[in-house]
Amino acid sequence: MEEQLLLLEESILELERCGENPDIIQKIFRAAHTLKGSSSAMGFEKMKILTHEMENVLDKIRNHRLKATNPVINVLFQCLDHLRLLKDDFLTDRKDIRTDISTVLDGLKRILSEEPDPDKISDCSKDMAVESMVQETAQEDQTMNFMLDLEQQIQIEQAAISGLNIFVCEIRLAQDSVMKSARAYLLLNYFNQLGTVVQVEPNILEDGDDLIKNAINYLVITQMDGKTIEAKVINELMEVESVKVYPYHWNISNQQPLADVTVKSKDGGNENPKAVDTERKVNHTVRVDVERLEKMMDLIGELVIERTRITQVGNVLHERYAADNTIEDLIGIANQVSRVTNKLQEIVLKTRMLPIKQLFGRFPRLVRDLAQTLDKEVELIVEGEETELDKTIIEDIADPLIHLIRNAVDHGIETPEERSRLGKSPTGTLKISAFHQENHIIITVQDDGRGIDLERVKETAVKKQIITPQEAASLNEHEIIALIFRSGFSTSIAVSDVSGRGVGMDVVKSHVDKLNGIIEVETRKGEGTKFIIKLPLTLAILTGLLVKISDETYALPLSNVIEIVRMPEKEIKTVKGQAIAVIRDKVLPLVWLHDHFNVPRKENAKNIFIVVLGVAEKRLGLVVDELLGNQEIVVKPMGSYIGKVEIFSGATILGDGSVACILDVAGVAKTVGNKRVIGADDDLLYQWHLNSRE
Amino acid sequence: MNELSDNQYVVFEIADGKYAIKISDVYEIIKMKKITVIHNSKPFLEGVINLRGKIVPIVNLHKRLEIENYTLTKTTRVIILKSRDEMVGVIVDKVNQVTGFSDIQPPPEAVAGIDGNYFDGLGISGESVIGILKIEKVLYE
Repeated sequence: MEEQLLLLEESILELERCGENPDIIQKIFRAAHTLKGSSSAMGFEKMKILTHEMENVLDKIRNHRLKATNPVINVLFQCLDHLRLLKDDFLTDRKDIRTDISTVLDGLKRILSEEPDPDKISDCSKDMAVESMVQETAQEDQTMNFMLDLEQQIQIEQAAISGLNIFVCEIRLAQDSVMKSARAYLLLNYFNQLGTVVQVEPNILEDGDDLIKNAINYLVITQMDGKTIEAKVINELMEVESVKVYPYHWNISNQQPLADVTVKSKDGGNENPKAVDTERKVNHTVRVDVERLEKMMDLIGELVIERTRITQVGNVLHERYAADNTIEDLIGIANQVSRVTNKLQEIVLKTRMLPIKQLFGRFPRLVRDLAQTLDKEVELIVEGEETELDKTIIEDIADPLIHLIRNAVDHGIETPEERSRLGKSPTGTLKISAFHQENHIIITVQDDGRGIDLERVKETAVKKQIITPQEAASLNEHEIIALIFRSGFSTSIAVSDVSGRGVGMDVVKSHVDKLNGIIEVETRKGEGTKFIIKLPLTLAILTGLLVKISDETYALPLSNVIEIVRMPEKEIKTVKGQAIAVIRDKVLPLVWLHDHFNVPRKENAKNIFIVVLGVAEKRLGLVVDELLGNQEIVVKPMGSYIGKVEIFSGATILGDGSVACILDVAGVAKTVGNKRVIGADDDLLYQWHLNSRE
Repeated sequence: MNELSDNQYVVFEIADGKYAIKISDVYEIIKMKKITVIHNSKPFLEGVINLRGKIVPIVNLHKRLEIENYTLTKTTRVIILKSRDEMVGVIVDKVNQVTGFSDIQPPPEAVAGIDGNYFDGLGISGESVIGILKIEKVLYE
């Protein structure tokens, strides 16, 4: 159902952009109809009514009796929103559906009544039908509405021109009739002998028995007249309770030149195979509970660990009994197991991957609504929708991205007037793209708006006491941009509805940090801003750098490791009580986790190892006693009993079966920051930059 | 069956004192493994172990009950408890037996110098009286 809603949204957006293209309208129609079908199958009355009314409006657009103007499209969007609400209601408690659809229904009806309607009678009956549905009576619509594709419409048109009768045969099967769908199928064959059945409602070929509760309507083209058919059916067929045959009023306007229709029929013909294609594809997928996937991932994780252990034990045995051939075999088997495990791990990781389209699909609507509220013209370009990403990451990155988009439309892109004055095209461009780069996914949000005003950022930061005026003077461009990620920072003067509630970029950054990602900003005044988010492909397995601190082993996510430096101890300097190292002309604060863990520092070492770590803009040097190497590690949560320990993001099991904690670099930076000696509110790194310049 | 296991207790020793835990709370008993220390966590948390691919926290019961710390011997065991859908291990000096009690008395204010609030009651079987630990209290409060 969610997919249909998404499809509906996409198509309505397309309708707005491209105007009344019959293909698009057909697409919306189909989506609305499918929704109507499934909602009535679930006995979901309100949704059925709403989709039914939507169909009426769409029908009018399709028949060129209504223009797809802005108000009409807005109402369609409203419908969509209400459908979503209804769906949510339905999912939480199907007996308690609170969403009120009367206003939207009014809106739809207003649209319907706006245009002078040549086909008043049928419309009236539709309205009546709606009302009767509201009362949840089982009464069916007087004039049956068939969902016809263009080919079928042409078929009917041509039949009418050649003077054939087009009837709706409404059949009610006996209540006690068993195998109603089989009975309905016999009826279909029967009518096909009398003439041609264009369509059957409900669709007896696809739907099961339970759908055929009420009448079955056959749309038949025949030479015979209605009375004869009625009589024949009653006399010749069993288990038929009642038959009603009446002429079918179809809605295609007769003024439409036939040539035009034929052209369209070609389009329709092209579309059909595609539709069939997608259907076939759907059949090849299986929906799986996420929990099962997680479980599978856990088990694979264990396998990965055991695999490493087998190899290790094999190597030990090989050393001990070099002459024994069986050990050779064991190592061979271990290698094979290792290969298979790698494959398996890869595949399971892939099953957790979803195309980012899932997320990007929400943006066109978001941007459209934003642009409309803010009176701006924005063209959205989305690239790399097919890029695949771990499901959990997709969920967690949604909010930050939405925030960036809001910011771009609200603060970045100027009003059309302002843009024209600046010699830019009045329509702003917002580009969102995703692509893979090595083991990472890069997502960018780029606008061609006014860019970030660095001076104003500085002023605001000073005003909000994030930095002192002296500090502001000595900041470079890079550092100024970094200020927007500080909490309590929002440059927007007027707090608007859309963005700027003070919670802003700092939340975006903390979200990205949590995903082990990095966010960067490129901005040029007057030309626009580009946010670049770099994320790992998955959170479950990561490449870690194993290090020793005292005699304890820890893992560092390799994505946070910038470089490893070996340095003579005497080159370490101390500024105001904080140890620092100068690496490539940059001043880095050094951290001995030994002190935080209450374990002794290594003494009398000539050289010390410094692992340079980076989280977003922050850099720090972690002093370790030994480097053990890189390894794929499976991230395991520490469990709720231990709870959140700031400097650890989880634990992993090493090849020898022991547990090593994974250091959370952001947490380490924070813990260290809390214990720093000087500066009350300032970022440690920043402080050292200043000191180095003094 | 249920009644039977309800009245069955695992009796163990810490610092020469005998204590008991309801057998339905016990998941398994293992020998001491290599424990990885988690710094900056709960004070009585000894660390974590790898129990067949799962990370299981280990509580130092001696520290928790404020008695003299354990020394690793041949008989040292880790009792893995299942509590609140999670596994937590406690270190004991020796596991003695599984037994039933003929009578259970409410706990006094202190049992062998340990706060009585840590106990569910006193189990009496023949001549001996054994303190029954209240897992919920010992692990979480």
